[in-house]
Amino acid sequence: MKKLTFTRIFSQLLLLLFVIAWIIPTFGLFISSLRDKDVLAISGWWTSFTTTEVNEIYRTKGKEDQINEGDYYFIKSNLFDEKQGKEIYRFGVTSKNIDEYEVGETALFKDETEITVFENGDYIWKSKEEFTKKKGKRIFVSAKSPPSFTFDNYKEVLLKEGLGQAFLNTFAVALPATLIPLIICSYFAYALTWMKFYGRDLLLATIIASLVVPLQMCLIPVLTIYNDFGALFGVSAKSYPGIWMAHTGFGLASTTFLLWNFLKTLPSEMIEAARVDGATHYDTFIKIVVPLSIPSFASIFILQFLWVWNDLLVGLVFLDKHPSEIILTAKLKELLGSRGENWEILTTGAFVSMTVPLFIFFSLQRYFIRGLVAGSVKG
Amino acid sequence: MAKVNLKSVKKTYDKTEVIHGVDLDINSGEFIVFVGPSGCGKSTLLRMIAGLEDITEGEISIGGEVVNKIIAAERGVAMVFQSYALYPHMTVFDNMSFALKQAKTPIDEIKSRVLESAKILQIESLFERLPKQLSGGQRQRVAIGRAIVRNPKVFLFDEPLSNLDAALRVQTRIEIAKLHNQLAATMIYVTHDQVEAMTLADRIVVINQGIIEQVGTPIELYNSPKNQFVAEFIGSPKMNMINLKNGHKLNMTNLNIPSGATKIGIRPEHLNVSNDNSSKLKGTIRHIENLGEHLLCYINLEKNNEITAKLDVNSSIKINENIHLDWHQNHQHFFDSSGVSID
Repeated sequence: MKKLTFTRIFSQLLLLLFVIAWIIPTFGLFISSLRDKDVLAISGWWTSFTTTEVNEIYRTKGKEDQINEGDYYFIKSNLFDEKQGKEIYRFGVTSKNIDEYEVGETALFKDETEITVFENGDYIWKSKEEFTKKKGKRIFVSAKSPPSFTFDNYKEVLLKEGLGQAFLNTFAVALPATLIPLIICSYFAYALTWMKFYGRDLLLATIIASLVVPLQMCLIPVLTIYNDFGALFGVSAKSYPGIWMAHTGFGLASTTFLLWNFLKTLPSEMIEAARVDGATHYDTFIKIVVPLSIPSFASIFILQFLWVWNDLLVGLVFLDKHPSEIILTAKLKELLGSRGENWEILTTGAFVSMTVPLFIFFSLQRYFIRGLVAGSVKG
Repeated sequence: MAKVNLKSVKKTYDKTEVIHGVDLDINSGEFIVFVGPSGCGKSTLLRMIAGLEDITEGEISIGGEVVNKIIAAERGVAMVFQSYALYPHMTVFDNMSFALKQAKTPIDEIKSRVLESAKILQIESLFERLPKQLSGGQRQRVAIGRAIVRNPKVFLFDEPLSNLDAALRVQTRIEIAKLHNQLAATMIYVTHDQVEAMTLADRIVVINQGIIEQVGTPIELYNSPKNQFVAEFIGSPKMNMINLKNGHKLNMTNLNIPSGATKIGIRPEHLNVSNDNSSKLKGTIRHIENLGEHLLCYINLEKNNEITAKLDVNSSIKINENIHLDWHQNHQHFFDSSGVSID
């Protein structure tokens, strides 16, 4: 076991802090998105695992449901519209005294009709005379509500609110906008690393220099130039190819730099061996360099994909707000404006937008292990 | 099998000349070893023959054909690298067949040729393994096998044994020698280890600071080095150099010093103990190393000059005692002030 030094304890604690700071909100968001929208509005997600006591108002059925048995008229039904698993323990018939009666007791209305409410919400309303009112009476109940989760919010958000379409749109943006720069930059990085040509160092310096140029600075100029070119060929100013190109351009420098960084760690003797073995630069790239670079490709893929997925600015500038083009982040922003009160929509929407980054990260994590070069050279 | 000719070959990196005009004719089927201290340009020379470095000036021809403008793959050479340079994601079989696949050789021929060369090196059982599952010695065999498969005109070895441990190095050295006998191919081998050079080479090329100091068979280099550098580089421990002018207690009468000579060189193994006061040299023993088969004896002469003598284990010598040394006249070498050997 390693010695417990102060630095080590400190770093472990810091790590723990990061894990907590990351997991708790994510988990809370996930739980919130699975809760009933009414419950969500009044209590925090951490209460959803225990049985809570709620006071609710229900209305009985009206005259259509009455049946005549002997001398009395009855309305027999259940207060709950659907099975909720709630357990009623007290109830009342006036707003002044909402928990007047024990469950199973019979309450008396002013009009001398009697009602008995049972634990599961069943009730029997008894009257000597025929019920005449179309509307039922209000019943106040105190109930114990067990933990309950539902996918209704997801159904609502994905299908009715158009987040499902936005989800697909974001994929249509993010996949090409990740793969195109990755393909271009892998060739580029290979050339920068293993091919000798005039001005190579200058080119590399330019790329590194362009890393410091902020995206915001060139966003509008790029859009203007793209629009002018688009007009020339009759292409719409805002379209998928446009945003692919924009993301490719903005990602070019960093992707090339990262790949170059990796490729130059490949043993040069191996590349030379391939050359002596008769491999052209293209062969060397495809048959030797690419298979050995899968881990770095994967990590760069993750970086670029997450960046594109979470991007709002480029998406707003280069795409329209049509349902067919709007991306997830823009859609969420829109929902925040129009449905800001509806927490169930926001939490669910946020979680939907998080699923893909989470999935990508966890599924490609193993590629981070850089063990592939082991064995080619003496370790 | 092909001869290799180098005609005033020069190499310049950013205006710094590292190879200063090398002329060398390598015969067909010859085992040539480039030897020299690190940074002398021996690897650069090899890489120029391989086609991995441009030739700044001069001409290299392989099998009579000038190859200056021909790319590495088409020169008919195969190279074995110091770090093995295997393709880590390919099995041994794929590693060995890579060059043939690149050359679009029919599958059947690839299989038979890979199998044939694997048999020579006894690595058939490793075909399905990845390089990382092999030991250092096995990796080097695969690397050599990868070269054999191509059936090259010239084999190039760039310090192939440097990464192996001592025992494996001796074993692989013998195998390379056997391989040369078996294939009778032209081989050029770069090393900084003069033992490898002496044991493997038909002819040794001693290179120092970008020029060839001497070319010759191992025994020629050992017996008649052309200059002080070669004399000191070949042989272990290195040749003792004694200044003639500084008035060491040399008994000059028996030496027959040629005119112009400023230094005399005697190899440690040629020194022997003499009880005679008329011996050629006298000194004090500072340190003795007993290697079992012989003693290495470090002897101080006057003016803090130190020489080494390889003496019989049974010699009755002790530290801090005086010693008289003698040698046979045939074993002495004279050098003038510029270090050139005088016969």
